[in-house]
Amino acid sequence: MFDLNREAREIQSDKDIAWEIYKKSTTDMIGLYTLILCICVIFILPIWVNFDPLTQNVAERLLPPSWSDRGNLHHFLGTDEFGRDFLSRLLIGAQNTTKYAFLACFSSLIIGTSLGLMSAMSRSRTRKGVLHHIFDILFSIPSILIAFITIGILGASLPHAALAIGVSLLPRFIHESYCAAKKELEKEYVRAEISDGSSRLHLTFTTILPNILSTIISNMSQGISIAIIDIAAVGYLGFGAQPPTPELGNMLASGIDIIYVSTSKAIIPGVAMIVLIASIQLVGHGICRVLNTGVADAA
Amino acid sequence: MIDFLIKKLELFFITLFILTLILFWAHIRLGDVEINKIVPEYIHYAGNLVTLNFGNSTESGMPIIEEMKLFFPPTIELLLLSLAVSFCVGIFLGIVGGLNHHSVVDKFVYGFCLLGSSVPVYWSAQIFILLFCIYIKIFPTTGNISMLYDVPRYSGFLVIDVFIQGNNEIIIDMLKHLALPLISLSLVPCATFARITRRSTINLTQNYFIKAAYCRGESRFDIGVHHVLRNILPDIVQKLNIIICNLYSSCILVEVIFDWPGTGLWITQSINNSDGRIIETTTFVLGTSFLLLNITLDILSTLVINRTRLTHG
Repeated sequence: MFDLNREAREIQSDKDIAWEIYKKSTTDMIGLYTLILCICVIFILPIWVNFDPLTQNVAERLLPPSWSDRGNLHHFLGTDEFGRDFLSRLLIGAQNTTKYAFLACFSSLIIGTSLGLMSAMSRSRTRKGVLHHIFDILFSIPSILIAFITIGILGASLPHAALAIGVSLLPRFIHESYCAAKKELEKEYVRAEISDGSSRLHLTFTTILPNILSTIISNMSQGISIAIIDIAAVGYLGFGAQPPTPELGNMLASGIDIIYVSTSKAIIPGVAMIVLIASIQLVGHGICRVLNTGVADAA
Repeated sequence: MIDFLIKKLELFFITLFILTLILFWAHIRLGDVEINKIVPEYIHYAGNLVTLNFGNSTESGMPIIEEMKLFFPPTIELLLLSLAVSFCVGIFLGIVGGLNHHSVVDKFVYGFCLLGSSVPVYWSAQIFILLFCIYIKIFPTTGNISMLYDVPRYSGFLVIDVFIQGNNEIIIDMLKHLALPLISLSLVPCATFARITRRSTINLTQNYFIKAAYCRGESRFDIGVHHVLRNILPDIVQKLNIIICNLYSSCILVEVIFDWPGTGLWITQSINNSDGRIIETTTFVLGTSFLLLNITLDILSTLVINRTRLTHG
């Protein structure tokens, strides 16, 4: 009994092995810690600390950040042109953008991957063609243009922008999962399973899906970063979140209006966005590396 | 080959049909269409779109097709120039990084790829404005040429017109206006090109013919140009349509920031004026041209890949 326990302690679980491989790259670790910090600050901190992004104070407008000469420690990053606290606007704005980006990306990931898998697994040619090519039209239209049509039809607001970006991400997920599943289906162990008589559904969930996971995850990290950039871009043009609501894009856009007076307001939201996106991409890259370790033809 | 072409054309017409359906839905939502006459209305609408009979803009009253001739050339020249710049620089960086894998240069290239794909284009444009227009006043912030100069229209493309006119002062002014939008627009596709090229160069250098070339004593430059560049071109052509698509998305933003008189600025203004007709027609024209581009690239990449397959046995 005692021996068994010691043996169990020596044999590492899959999780430990994965964590060992992940730890090898320093940049990926930096990305992971930055991402955890960002998510804590953006999503968990506002639960306890009462940030107020909307209260205006005309007497204290356009204060510079607190580390400069005229700065006031009461407003850590200064105030904007209406005297609203810039730090709380930044946090709530990042929360708004990221929330909708995650929502758009995940819903589009689930729908897109299932459509792609369905078209790869289906036997009839017409069904395959229809499922695979139904969203091809979106592939050829730039994402901002899709957002323009959606906003032209439905009106400008943040959920509509997220809807448009989610729709514009769909063909990417369909196409990638279709190609990956197609490649996997040609391998010999899958053929062996088919000749063993496993059903299509069983094959999809037990064999194909775990094996194309690295493609899906690398697509997901790219998809989230594209969604953040695009939602902020729609906000930048003034068709996303409407003015009193803070959002990274419209904060940047109001930053360029006052760029001659206060330069920090045009820089800080962008820096926040870059840190967020770069850490997401690093983590996605790291997870892909872990999943691909030991796979011969990993791209 | 002919089978393939017919299949692609079929796909083109089906997607065109879906595009007109979506636009007709937008037309119903924006204008007033009687529900019981929906089929004849659709046929009329789609017929108008396909025969390029777009009608007049509600804001300026001009025919939309005339306005398009004004707004399309600046966008096209900005897109093509930035595509050319980013293609050359990106592929150069990618090959240099890929051939010197695990070196300091490669680390820099990888860092640039990561940074380039996470910097939003509107932020880098703002930073360029801040650096080069406010701190160091060398570049102008708005427009594609100074109001003082009068350039006659020969081809509609400003870059060509200015060189035809041949006045040095005007050429320098045009180049100054072009610099910032071009650089900020080229940054993102440059990083994408570098990433793709670096990845496939690293995969390619595992092959024996590259090692053989090293053993023959060919220089790095020769290997890069003669062996690597030719073999990675199919990979790049396959991704080209996505890159151009993203490039147009960022082009809209750059045009809005720098007041470049192109389609992006025009569409944004027409959405603000809720001029539905312009949104529909521009989407139709742009969607169709992007579809055509996709199909051309598809055919091209099949040709290129088939040829490489034939030559390598």
